[in-house]
Amino acid sequence: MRRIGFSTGALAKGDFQRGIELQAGHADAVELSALREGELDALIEALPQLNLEGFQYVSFHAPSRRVELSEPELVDRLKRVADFVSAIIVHPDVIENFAVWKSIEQQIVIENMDQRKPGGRTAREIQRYFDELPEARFCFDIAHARQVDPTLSIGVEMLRAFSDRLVEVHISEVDASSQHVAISSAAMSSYREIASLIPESIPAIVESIVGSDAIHDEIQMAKASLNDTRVDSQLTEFAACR
Amino acid sequence: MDVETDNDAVAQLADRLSAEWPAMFSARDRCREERARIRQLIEHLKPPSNTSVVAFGSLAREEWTSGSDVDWTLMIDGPADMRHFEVAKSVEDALKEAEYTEPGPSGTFGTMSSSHVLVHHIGGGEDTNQNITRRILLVLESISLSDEVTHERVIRAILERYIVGDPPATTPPKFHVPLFLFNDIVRYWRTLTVDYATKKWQRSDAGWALRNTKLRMSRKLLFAKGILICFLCDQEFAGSPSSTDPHIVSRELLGKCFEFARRPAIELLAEVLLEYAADETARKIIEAYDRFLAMLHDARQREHLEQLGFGQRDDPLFEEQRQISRDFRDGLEQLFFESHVRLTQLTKRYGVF
Repeated sequence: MRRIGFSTGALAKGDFQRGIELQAGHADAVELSALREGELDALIEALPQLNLEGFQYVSFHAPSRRVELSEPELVDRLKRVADFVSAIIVHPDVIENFAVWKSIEQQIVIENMDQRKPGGRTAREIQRYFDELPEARFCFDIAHARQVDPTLSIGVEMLRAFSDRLVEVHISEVDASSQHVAISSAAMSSYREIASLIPESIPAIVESIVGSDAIHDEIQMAKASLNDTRVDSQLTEFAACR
Repeated sequence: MDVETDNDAVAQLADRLSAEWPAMFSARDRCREERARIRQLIEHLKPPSNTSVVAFGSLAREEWTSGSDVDWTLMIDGPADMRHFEVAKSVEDALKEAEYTEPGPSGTFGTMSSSHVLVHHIGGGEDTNQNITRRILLVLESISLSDEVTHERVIRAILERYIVGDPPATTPPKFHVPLFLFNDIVRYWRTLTVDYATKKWQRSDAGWALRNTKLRMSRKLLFAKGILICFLCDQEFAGSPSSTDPHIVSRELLGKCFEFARRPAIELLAEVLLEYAADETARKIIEAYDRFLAMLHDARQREHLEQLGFGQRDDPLFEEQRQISRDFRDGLEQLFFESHVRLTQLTKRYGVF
């Protein structure tokens, strides 16, 4: 059965503690989010004390942009994270000097980007990162892939090209202004068509920005989108009503 | 994004045949320079997200000659915004100021267009001449001058209608000729030939000789490209899919079709000639096309053809161009009917009955 849970950032922005608490009992996977650089140090300091019991899979999302930190400073901080999590998700455009990242190559997981970014959106664009960092792994953001190409043929190319590197999936829906929103029935239907390329052993992190009362429903929606077994039997009807 | 190809099949073919084809290579070089120049002009305008300034015609075919115009559209693939009109106007003004020749008067180019009708109105009463022209040219002969993501997304969405939206009845799923797309490409080619006759009638033969020559050469090349894209999707050429899941197979096929569609027509043709045709066939086709481009780039010859009345159809330059177009046609016939068994089978099966 797939391990699934939310990004703390989707549920509570920078309040990672609340992001963890909100999904307790609903999820067995979690991604600790430090999407903004300012959130990084507090999360790193708190890591040893965080109560992550109940989560079989824990990953960490590195800042999506550097503001104050130099590249080596960011990598030094991420090294401190590596012992506590299974994967450190990194946006490819944060990586400028490959040599700096070599020391945590095995821990980093490169995510495909949305249409706003100038690169990292397709298999070909991501390949250069794996050429330089061959030990790095891959996080497939299915919503980003669908925003770039609703046919998901580019998504299929990525899943095919990086199947042996795939360690995590991000799931949500991305709207025209690139915001992560709840998964619609149209997105679910589209995701299901390529879900056979995402084994159940790969954990899924939900990035949909939803209220606390919608956590259970969104997890069910994500499971259905990935064609996972043991989802609520009424889900099809539920999806049609959304 | 991913559309540029590192291959240079035309150059490889030239090497193999010890040919020079100077008109073709210089047209390509000029085209790349013009593209870069226009992209810079448009970059300053900062077009909004989910739009792409898309060029068609010689700029997309990599055949920039002295008489080339810029056929463009502001492709919108997102929420409607009244400011899109202002952006389209500013693109028009920028190109005018840079002294590029404006698109023709049909209204198909030089304005905004929405992806929705291109994707949803394929066939049926709402599929106008303008719509099929924009759609097929977007697939076969277009290049983005801004925001490649939006451009590529619309092309893939159109191909999805043709391929994913029209799955074959046969199982297990395999790569196959996308018949819906093939039939629409044939329909477009036939529309071009009918419209040629209509324009000749409506415009009292004005400009008929140049249009006739283009129909026999650059338009026919586009048709040949369309056929090749479809036939190269056949399992004989495309191989086997990596999955038996029909949803995955159709997306892999879509991806292949997209990659073929993104190559300039002459480049795809050269790839096929390199692989499957005799040297004599390849030489006949590309040499004829090179001579055609040399004429187009010669302002005096081009103008001469443009001014010819139908009564002057025994004009030596026109007769020369007709002979070039016959060589081109004969070469294509050799390619499709005599070069490769499967290519011939497919041409007979889908091209005739």
